[in-house]
Amino acid sequence: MEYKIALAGNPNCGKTTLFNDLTGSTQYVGNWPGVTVEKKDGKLRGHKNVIIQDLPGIYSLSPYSLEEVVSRNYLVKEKPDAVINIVDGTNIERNLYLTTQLLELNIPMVIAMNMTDLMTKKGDKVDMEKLSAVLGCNVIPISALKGQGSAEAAEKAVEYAKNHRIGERPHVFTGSVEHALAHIEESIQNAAEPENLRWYAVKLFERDSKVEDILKLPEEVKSHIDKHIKDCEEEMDDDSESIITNQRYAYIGRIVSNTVKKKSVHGSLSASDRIDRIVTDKFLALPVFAAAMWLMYYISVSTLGGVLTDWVNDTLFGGWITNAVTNALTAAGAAGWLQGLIVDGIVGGVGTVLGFVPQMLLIFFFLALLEDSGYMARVAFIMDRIFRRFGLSGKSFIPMLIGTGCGVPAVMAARTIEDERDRRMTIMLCTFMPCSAKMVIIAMTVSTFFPGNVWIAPSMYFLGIAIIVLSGVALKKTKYFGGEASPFVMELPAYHIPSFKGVLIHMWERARAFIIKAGTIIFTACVLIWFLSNFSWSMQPVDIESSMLAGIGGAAAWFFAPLGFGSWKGAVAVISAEMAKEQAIGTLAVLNGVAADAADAAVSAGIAGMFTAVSAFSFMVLNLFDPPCIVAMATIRREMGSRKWGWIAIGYQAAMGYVLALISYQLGSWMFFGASFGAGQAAAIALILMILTAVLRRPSKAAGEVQMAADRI
Amino acid sequence: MIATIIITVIIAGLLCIAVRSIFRHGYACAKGGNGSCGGKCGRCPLNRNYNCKSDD
Repeated sequence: MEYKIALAGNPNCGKTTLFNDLTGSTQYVGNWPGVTVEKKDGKLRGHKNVIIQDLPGIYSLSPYSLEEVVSRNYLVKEKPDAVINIVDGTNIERNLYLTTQLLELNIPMVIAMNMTDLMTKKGDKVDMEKLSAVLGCNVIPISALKGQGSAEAAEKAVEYAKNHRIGERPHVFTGSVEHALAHIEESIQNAAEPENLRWYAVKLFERDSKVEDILKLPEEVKSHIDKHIKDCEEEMDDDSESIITNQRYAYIGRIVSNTVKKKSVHGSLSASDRIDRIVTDKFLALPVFAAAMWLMYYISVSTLGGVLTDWVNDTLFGGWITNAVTNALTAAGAAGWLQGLIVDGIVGGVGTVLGFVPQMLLIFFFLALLEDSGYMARVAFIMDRIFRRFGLSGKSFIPMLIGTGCGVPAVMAARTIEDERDRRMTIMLCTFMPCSAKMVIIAMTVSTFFPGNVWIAPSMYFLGIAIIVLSGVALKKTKYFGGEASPFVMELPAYHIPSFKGVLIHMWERARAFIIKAGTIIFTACVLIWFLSNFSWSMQPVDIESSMLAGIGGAAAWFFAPLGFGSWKGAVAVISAEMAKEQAIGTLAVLNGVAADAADAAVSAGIAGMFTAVSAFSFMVLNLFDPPCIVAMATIRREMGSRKWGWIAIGYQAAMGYVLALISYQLGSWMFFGASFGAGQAAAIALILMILTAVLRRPSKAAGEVQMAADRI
Repeated sequence: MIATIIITVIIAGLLCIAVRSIFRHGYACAKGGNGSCGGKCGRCPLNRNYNCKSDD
């Protein structure tokens, strides 16, 4: 028989860290709330028939956002065989609120008191035995990060699941409430499953509309229940939901005062508080963030990363591997076309993309450090202050943070946003942040056309944020996105020194995904590009300028001419980038036969001949802001929940990429490269004026009405 | 000639594996729902860290 054990707890209490420890998985762990937005499964190590399920974090069983609904629905409807309730030991009171609700579900439960190492460090002490006795279930101290106590908690949960051992339910509520709950339980006996009676009764007492819809009770039963609730409300002079909340916290307060001894910290600031005084300071916060990101790009792209990538591109792939493969194929007597396919197409295309792995690794390393230490959670908080001035929510910044890795999870992370308008807007905008694939384009452009410039790479990150803010401001003034920004309440985790193992896993997982993509999508695309660029429509080997690809690219080239790269090769690179963004560079490498020209000793030499500095900048801007890869687009369509909104998002991104690239090229060539003022420059200025109008105009009447309605609420 | 044939077959085989991987583990994951591995296979070439299966 298979047993399912769910990990449930507040956001950022360490569920995924425990999940990884118990299952040997390497699921993404972030030091901020809302990292897990879907249920994940894994087998418990040493138990083939035990499935551990990692659920999105929830503060209570009264969910507000989509990912919280996933957890509640699973716990209530599907019922795991046991629950490990992870409680953050450094914040017991708030975490036990969910515990009191989980105990009402009649599921065998073990409490894993996490972060006990931090508690000990702070000088806090918990009487685990006493707490176990009061709550009616085992409380086991663990440190998921250090792997201490995790196995013991899991073993206990397995034992409970097998025996279906449910402890005695604690007495959370006062006599009057219990009296009303008993009447409600009696009234819904025929409408709800026996094991869920208590939970439904409490929810009905709270007047939870979703539960009322599920049970579909007859009117007379509803009025009978309502009478009991009203009696309680009159007696306690409060609304029913507040009564339940207050009594839960009163109960928690009692048990915490009896079981937890906290070291007094009057008047002293913790290390986290002292760091926060600087990094979240009103004036210093932004400069500190800008400096951190600049330093990250400086080391990863311009200095150390640049040196490593140059070596991999020029020496490893451009020299050693190319020469070795060419010699081996010649010695084996392989046909000329086959040598072209392997050397120009596969080694040239895939090799060029893989050449950027060192830079990727360094960026992932620094991002992992910033995330795991807890700093990125502060950045979301800082950005909320700025975003809110423009009617946006800091909640939208979390998907953007995730978007620096990959656009697909970034789009999915928008599920944490309750407001549908804000969620849709975030999905539309979050892929403007440069993901790891786009980093290849940035790195290539900087190293080839702006060597030594330390501002271009980080400025693309900040340009991404700026475009998101400007887009948000403009979109908020339309009737489709108008309204109050979603409230953003975020718990700032305590700073901690990232674990070396955790950072390495983080780096490896992202690099692994990057390398696998190079071996699948990039490999396939390079072979396809090579084939189409070497054969005619009649399947005859021809010169590249007479090839099928030249015909296809030539038909689209006019469209990109105003952006400065009207050649068919540039057009093909942009189109192929929709398969995977880094394919833009792979395609350029294949089309320029870079690898065959090993004597040139520069992978980017062939590409350098295709662009001027300003057109290369425009090419980079287009690829950063136009629609993301096809997988991310499919995710956008899915998460939008409608084809219409999917196309609106992709259309908006396409227009944004084209407009920004056009402005960059037309004004850049005029202002910095001596081009004369013409129709292109006039169009660019007109577009800037249009953008400013969209940003600065008064909100539409409909958007204003939405805002007023929100204000009234 | 023999070398050309052998290497061509190898390249074609690798290409088939790559295409199969893309469709089975890449786009299926992103698409979600039925037919998706749900990220359990650990072989999604795009982002194996995230469970792409739709639960709703």
